[in-house]
Amino acid sequence: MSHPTDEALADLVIGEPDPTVSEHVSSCPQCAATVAELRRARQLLRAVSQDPVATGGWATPGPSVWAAIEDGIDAAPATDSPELEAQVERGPDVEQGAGPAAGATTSADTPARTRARLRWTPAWAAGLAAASLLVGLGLGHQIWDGGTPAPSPTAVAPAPTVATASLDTLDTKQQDGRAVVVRTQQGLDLEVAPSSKLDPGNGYLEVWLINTDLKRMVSVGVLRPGESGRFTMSQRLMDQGYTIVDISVQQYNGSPLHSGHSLLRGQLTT
Amino acid sequence: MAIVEPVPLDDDVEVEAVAPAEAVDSHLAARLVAGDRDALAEMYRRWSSLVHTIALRSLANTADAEDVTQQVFVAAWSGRHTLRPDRGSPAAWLVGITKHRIADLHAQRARRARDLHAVATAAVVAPAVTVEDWADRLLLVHELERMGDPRAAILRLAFLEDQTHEQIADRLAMPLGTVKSHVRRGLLELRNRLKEVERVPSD
Repeated sequence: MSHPTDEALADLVIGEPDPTVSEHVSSCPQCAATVAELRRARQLLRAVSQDPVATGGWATPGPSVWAAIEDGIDAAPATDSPELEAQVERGPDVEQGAGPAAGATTSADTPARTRARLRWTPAWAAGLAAASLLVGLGLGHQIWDGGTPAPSPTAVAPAPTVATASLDTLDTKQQDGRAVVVRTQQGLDLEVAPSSKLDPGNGYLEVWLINTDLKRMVSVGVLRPGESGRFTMSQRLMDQGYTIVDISVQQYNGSPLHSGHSLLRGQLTT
Repeated sequence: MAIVEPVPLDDDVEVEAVAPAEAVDSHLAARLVAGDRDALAEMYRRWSSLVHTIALRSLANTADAEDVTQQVFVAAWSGRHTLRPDRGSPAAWLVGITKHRIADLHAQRARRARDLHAVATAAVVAPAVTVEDWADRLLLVHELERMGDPRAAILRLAFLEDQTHEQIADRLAMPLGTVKSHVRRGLLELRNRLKEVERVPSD
């Protein structure tokens, strides 16, 4: 038997069943799937009358959102060529030019890029590393990897640098990384980029901001070995003296406290 | 609920006419694909509350929801060539992008929790089963809003208020056959929107 029309299938769902159609559907997976889809559409609306949106109760994003979108678009020129866009992104501010939307400095860096790990990662490269994209652990921070099938980087203007720190090993005082505070739409971001792959042993790496009184500290997030990280911080933390960036090895023991085992440390200077 | 006043209609009402809204949407989509930024601004005016409400329901956090809203429209711009003006509504396309963004954020939250605690706390922040449903449900409500009457009014009575076709025909002073035809076509239309959302690729 040929398939019933969509209209006939819809009739099953809206309570006008035709026995011949019902019989066909019971033995035809394709039509059964269509009926299931129609039923779901029907079902989704069933409980809606009590919902605020049923009477126009939609939530509106704040006024800053559109401005942020425009900024994001301005930095991503209207072109579909990743190469060209990558050029644009690597503008003059290359060393610390990662903008707020970059979010992810990833381990996808090619060897040629490793000297400037904080710069833009084109979206297509970020996409390649999407499986391990757990950078930018900072709250509310998103990874802007394009989100679409085509290789079209999303980028925003390079963010102004607020402070930088050289991250040095605690034992031998060798420089082994860099930390940068950049201004973003939302406030400040801390970017942490070790130069070499840090070894967390059986534990994990955690980034801290230690107060200059060397007594207080806050955890800003977890860092993946071999990757850079980007975290949300605030001007207030800076003002209160939380300006020492520290990377520690933490054990999976449930303790939220600093383990006392630091690998790299550096003082942020403006 | 805002049901419009009953509008008496002739028996020969053209049920199958393409809603003007669809023609406008398709024109808007074409402008976006062509790289017209005003088209994006227009899409934002029309659909940012849809996107934002979905994000807010799914994430229960205004800042995160605004982040997602922002990302969705930037992604819409950079991925505009994936929009097919001839195949589906821009709203469904945006909702598809929104769902992927929300899923990403949930995954990130879960990972963060795992990394920090290295135990099964991920379950606490795992996406609620309703994320899918929120997006699709709110899209359908939105579709009803823009569908135009009498079809929208008929669908609201039929689906939201569970009225029988006879009751609706009485209430709107409309032939029963016309009511049924609207319900049938309207349901198919809603289902098509959901299919369009499904078609939006995640990466």
